[in-house]
Amino acid sequence: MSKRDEKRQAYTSMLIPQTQTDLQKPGDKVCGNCKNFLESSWSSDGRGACNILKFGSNIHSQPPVYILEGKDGYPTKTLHDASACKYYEKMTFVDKDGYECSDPQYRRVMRQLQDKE
Amino acid sequence: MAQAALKNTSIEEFEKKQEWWWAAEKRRSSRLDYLRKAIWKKGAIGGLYAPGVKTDLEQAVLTTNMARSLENAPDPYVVKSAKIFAHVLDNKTIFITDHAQLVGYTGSLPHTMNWNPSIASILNAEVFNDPTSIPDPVDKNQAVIQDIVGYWAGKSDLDKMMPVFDMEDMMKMLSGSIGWGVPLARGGYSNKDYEYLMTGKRAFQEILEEIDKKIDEADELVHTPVANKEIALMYDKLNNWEAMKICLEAGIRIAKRYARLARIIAENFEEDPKRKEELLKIAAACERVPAHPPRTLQESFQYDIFIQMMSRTEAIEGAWPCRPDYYHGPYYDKDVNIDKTLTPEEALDLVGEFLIRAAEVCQFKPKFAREGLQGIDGTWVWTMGGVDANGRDACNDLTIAFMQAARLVRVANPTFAFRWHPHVQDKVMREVFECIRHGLGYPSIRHDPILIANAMHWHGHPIEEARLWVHQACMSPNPPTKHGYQPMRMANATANCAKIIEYVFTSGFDKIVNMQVGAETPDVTTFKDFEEFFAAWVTQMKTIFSILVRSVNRARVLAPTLTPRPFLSAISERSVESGLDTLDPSIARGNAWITAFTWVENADSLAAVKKLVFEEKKYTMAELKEALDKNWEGYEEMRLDFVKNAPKWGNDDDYVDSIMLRCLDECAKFSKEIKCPCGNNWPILPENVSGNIHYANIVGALPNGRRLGDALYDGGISPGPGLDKNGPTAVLKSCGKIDHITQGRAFLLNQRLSPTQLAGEKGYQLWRAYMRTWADLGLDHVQFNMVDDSTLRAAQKDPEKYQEVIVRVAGYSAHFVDISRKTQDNIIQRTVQGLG
Amino acid sequence: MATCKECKNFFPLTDNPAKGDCVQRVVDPRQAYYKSKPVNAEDDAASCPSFQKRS
Repeated sequence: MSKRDEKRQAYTSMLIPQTQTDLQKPGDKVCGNCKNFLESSWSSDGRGACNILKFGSNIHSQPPVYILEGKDGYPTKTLHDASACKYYEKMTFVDKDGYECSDPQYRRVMRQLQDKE
Repeated sequence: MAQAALKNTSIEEFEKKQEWWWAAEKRRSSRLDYLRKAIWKKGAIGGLYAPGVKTDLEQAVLTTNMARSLENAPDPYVVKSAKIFAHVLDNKTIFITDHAQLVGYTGSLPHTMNWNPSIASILNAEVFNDPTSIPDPVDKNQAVIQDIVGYWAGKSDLDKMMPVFDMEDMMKMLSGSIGWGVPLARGGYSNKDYEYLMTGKRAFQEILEEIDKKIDEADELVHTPVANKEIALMYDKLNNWEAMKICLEAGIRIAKRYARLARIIAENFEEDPKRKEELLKIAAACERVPAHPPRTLQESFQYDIFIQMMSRTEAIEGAWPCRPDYYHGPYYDKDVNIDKTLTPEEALDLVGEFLIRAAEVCQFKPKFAREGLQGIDGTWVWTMGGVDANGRDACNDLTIAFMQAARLVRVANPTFAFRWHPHVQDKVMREVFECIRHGLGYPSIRHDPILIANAMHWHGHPIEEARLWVHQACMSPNPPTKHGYQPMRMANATANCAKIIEYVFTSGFDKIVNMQVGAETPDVTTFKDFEEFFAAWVTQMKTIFSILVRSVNRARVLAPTLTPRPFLSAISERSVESGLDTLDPSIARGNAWITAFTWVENADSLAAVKKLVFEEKKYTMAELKEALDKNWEGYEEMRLDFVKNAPKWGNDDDYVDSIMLRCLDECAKFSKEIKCPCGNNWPILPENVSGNIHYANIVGALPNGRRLGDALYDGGISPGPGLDKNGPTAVLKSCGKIDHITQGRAFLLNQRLSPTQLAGEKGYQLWRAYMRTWADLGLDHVQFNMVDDSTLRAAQKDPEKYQEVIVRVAGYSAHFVDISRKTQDNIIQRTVQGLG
Repeated sequence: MATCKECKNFFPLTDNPAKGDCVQRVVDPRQAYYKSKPVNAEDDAASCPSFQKRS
């Protein structure tokens, strides 16, 4: 496979829009409430990258593929199921009310992830 | 303020205390006071919309239902788009506010924000995910949104475009690290062909007749007994004309709906005879425009509002290019001075309400846009003053009326930009100054002769057209003419330039978004001298700019077929004449530019590296790289060295100023290598909006001493806050070394002035002297904040009492209480310049 | 079954009485206004919370 095809395959999942089923409520463990997830600063539709897993990883394959070497982070989304990921670590939300500007490390301004406590 | 205190304090007392907002409240008419307080504030604070403001589902539902019904219809895409547009206008809820004389709003109700789901499915996901703006009942409406989002997944403009962009470029752009915006024709902002539309020669009905003639001619051609390329291409033109007609006819119909509503209220509900008369006047105006050219000031404003409403129904419009004193001026003159059908006070009410109608406009925006444009929906920078096509002073009585009305209604948006030239009369300059002195933060001042020459230099606009220029958004001139006007400016040709210098240290890897974004330049520790370092900077600059420009170019080329704009085409002479969509590059001259956010950090950082690493050899490059990598933690003394002991821009210091000029020279050279699909250049334009706050957590540590999380400089060629130590003339002199015609498109300069120092006639003369220096040095732009620290600090503590305090953020103004705390602090930090 | 044409808020079009406008008064926290939405005379108004029978 050419490098261009490799990238296209990985990036396509980032660029496919959410369908109806994708908009349901998330489970307990999603990339979006993991410490290691960096939300893209560009929008709050949920795209981002993992700070630990690298490009080529896939936490949804059977078994999950973990690549820790390389430059680019594993592109993933806030509501992606992370229950199978061994690197998942639940984070404590800092930015709760969204009246300050984006901090990719802490911003989780999505209705589904609001801290109910 | 307690009503009693407001009642017992005179206007003069408030003005003496420089509490202009209370003075304005007392001075304005009861109508304007009501309408001003009626506005639902739609600008986001930080990233979230204010409580009570809700996303409007009506257009989304109407659009989706109509799209569903047309799925199997035998219509070309452009005609379907037009039919959807018409369906929305025919069926949306309309309203008339008490005491209003002007009507028309993009949403269905005053507190709602318009949402067009056909533009970008990533925007749609944000609507679903937004924690505060889904209207009640939330569960039911979330299900409605879910259905709409599901329908448009894969069908929106962005979804159609995405597969035909370069995937790698898109991922880099959508990471949010280097750019700001989407390459979509319906997701940016459009100027208009005002010379075609608003000179009184025609309106919708006349354009319909022109189109009918074109259709008849084309129909005859395609049935001649021959076949060729011209005929093959004519069918698309016929489809475009058909779509244009559908849009114009719908535009006429919705106006008549407003006329009908006004009559119904007058005849069935309203008891006050004076108000009945006003409602019947509204009805008459809406029967007249947009079908036919306006005859009065009220009709002229109404025409303009309808056009904007329709344009914002068809697309997301992030700006409001216009020149209202120039195009509405003749009607003001006729009504107030010639026919005397309006008193100046009545005209002022209309002008003030026109500002209010613009202030209330809102379309749901993605979070990055809300953060970058805190406190406002988009940059409505209205162009005032200037010259006409023959180079003569174009200021008129309406120019003055706009300045006076602005001081009464104190909206932050629209904001004015005044085209100064050497023949502007003193009475106009005084009005301009009064607005600034009243703390509006506008008008910004533009150097007209410089910018006319600039428009001719960069984009080859003929002088008669260049003289007519309006602000495409905050800063960039664009003539509203047949081939000159720009139908889409996509904000994603907006570069986060601080990344240029950051990537020199990381060889193009972005640690915040975990991706190789920039060029893989050599390890910075291998550079033997400043020249090698600077060469890497140039490479990163070219890489970042190219990524952004490539996607805009691609979108422009595809736009006429994939994302056409039949309504905008219908009001553009070049489209009505040719049958081509107005986005087609072959019929436009081109007016592209790259907005350069976070620009000055580069010069300050380059100067620091040159001095402290390469010349004085106080630190090695490895040490600096390590310190930046660690976000200066454990390196505070070194960081302060880079802050205090390296020269900073804005101090008339040739060391750093020459580096700035060198950076601009490289960009100017490159600007002529990268071309738009019209074949024209891509000059840069340093300015920021509130990107300096939005990017604070996205740009890493830099050699000018900043840490990740610190606010960036406030933009354009403004010195870093507090870093200009040598007074206002030194700032002007630094900025004056730039050639504002050939080294870039335009250059934003923020200055903060002391309200106390600029009181009275003496203050005015001080300001005029400052402006003479500004003009003589050939700067193209300056804008002022004139609010003192104590007022701003008080507003932070007690926002309820300071609702109408306005500050200049960057290319726009906002109410101080409507921006995030971090942005507020950043504005307070800006140096207050003492003049004289 | 109640229909829109039986409601006080319904104003038929003069050239096509089968269609009309539903006009209502609204007072929100910031302003008062009249709103209008196009409806059909025979639209079912049984579950409309704003239905007011015309006398």
